[in-house]
Amino acid sequence: MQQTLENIGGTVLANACGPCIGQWNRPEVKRGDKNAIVTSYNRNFPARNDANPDTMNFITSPEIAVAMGISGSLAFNPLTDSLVGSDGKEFKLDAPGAAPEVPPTGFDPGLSMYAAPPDDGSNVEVVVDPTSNRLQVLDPWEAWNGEDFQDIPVLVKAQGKCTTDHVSPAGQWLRFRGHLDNLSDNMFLGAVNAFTEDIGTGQNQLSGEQVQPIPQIAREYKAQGLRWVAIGDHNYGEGSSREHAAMSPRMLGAAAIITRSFARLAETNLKKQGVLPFTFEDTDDYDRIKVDDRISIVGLDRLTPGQPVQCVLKHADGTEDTVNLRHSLNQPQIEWFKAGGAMNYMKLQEGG
Amino acid sequence: MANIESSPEFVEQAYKKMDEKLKVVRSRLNRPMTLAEKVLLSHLDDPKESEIVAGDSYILLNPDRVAHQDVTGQMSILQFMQSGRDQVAVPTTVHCDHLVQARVGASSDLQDALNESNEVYQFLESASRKYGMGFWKPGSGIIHQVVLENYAFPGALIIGTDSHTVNGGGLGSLAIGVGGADAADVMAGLAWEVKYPTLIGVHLTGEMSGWTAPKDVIIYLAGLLTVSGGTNAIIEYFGPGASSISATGKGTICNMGAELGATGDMFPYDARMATYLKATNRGALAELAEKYRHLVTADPEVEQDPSQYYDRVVEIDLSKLEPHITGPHSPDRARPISDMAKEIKENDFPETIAAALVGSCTNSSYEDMSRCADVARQASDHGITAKSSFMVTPGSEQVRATIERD
Repeated sequence: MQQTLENIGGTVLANACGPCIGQWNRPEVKRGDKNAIVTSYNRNFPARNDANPDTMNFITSPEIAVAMGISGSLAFNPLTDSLVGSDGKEFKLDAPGAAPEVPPTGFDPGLSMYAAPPDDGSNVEVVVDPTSNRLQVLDPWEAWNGEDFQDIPVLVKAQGKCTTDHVSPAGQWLRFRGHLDNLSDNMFLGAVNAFTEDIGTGQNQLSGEQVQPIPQIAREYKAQGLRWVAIGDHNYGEGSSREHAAMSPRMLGAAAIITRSFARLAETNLKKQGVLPFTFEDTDDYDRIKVDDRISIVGLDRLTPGQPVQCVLKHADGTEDTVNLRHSLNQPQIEWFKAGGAMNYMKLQEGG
Repeated sequence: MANIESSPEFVEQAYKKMDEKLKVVRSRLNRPMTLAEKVLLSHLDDPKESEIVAGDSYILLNPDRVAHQDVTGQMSILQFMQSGRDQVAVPTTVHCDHLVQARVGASSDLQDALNESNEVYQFLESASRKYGMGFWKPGSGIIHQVVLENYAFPGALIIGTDSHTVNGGGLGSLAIGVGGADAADVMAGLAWEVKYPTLIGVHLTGEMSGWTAPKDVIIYLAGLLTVSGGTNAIIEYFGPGASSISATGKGTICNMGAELGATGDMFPYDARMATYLKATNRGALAELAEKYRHLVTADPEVEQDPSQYYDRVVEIDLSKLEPHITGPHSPDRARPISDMAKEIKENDFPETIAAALVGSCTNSSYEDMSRCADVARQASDHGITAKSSFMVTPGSEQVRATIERD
């Protein structure tokens, strides 16, 4: 079969995702070149296959894709249209016959490329080069110190849509998916900051710098031992389930994310990382938060399922507002927060 | 010692547990159940007390296994390492499939990947050895095909850190794509939380013929339901047409459930799945599925009155289904192939096809490749080759070696 496919010009690629997920080096097509491809893949969003948003991927069955590829024309319908053979005569492709669903003589397993783990892995060292920029072993997050968060700054107030892709953009950052510290330089770079109406930047309340990338501000707060909160709008964190959107805020010092509402998965992911997800009891309180506010979240030692938490906003003009925050933490999740995250809590349970 | 295989012993244990939990759930619901309901609720962490309102409750489940690919798996495993456990709590595998870039062809591209991503592979392999996970090296195949060939079984609840995990529905598994944090929790022994989905029933009648293929079922459905039509839902296929489709064809259909935003999608256990299980050296699992048939098929009342059990029912007559094509830029922009020529003119689509690409995690089955080869042979017999550039991605080493041999 492989030979038959190669006979009409087919190239067999590696047994891997390849062009289906965008792993396609296609030097003959430049970004912006409008072109059509037919595939038997599953996803065809713009730029999916070759990073070129002007490549149009039409998905169909493999037998139709082969027939269309033979004709070279997107208008070709093998049910009705003819091809021209090397003898100059027209011919029609017959519909392929019913094919065996499994090989009549059984599968050939090919080369063995599976590695079973040893019975006892306790002596195995996990290999991560400390100088790697793609991988980084995670240090456990610090456990909660038992004190309220007092007078901490507001890093960003996200306005409108703030999906996981706004919190943790993909694209060029994908290569750092295994290195949280490097990846975290992307944190909130996609978010519209309500304070400035700019994307991905904010005001540094320590240095006074007016326009600075949000992750840099967070790093400077963290270096000063200062936690911070981020404010979100409706349905904060919708979209892909990537946990990095909760891990980067945790790594760079988030104490709480306070929103008008959460997408459930993003809320759960924050809980797992030991970051408190709150919603405004009165969604209009979103508007009370000012760029230079200092925020205190009080009574955390009495954190109880179903009970609101008080938040005091100290404004720069000396006035104060007190707003109520809701949370959806259940008792085990409150234990996660206290331990510094779900994995820390697991470790405590394991006796480690 | 870490158990990784879906061995007959493991699967029978899983069925026994499911059976017990299902009894508890049945006594609460007191009505016939669909297949998806059975598989979901028989994996409840607490079948007695869990609130179970479809489309509303968040339920905690105990998945049977976890599968990782090599990009999302990195952070998931790094998180698991924080849990302090010596070994993963459920059977887990790691599949190196995402980091190979298509450039020239299989062997040279693979070597490039080994050079460029060596540190990622070393990390994943050493972590697999340490924590008792099965490690599938670069070139072994694409996660979803390898899971179908080795690990999926009827009635299994599988989570994977990739959206096309749903491919496992072709073998009657409820296989669901999740984030890395969820997978890390399950590997660490926690339950997995999901919104109890609503149910879309797809009633299949008739049988495909000619150019029509399983892909057309899901492309047609994508056009009908749109990319958000499956959100928070499980798509359950049923009816006499279901058993006219091979297990790998069912996998093709389930694979693109992800494009509809579905939580999961699945087919009921049938003889076609048994055929595939036997061909992949798992005949004993087919026998077990027969023995526990009540766990891996819907109750008979469901098919008699589907609208009472599914939130939405879609009818597809396979004998009338035309080949379809969908795109560009969205998987729900579907039309029958006979409408394509007209749409090219209306939308100013390029008429020349730059490349035709077949295979991948979906559509690289023996059946698919046989039909592709049939078409290719006809072209060769008439002395012509493909006008477009043409590439084939085998879904696994087993598929590659078999199509090379046959």
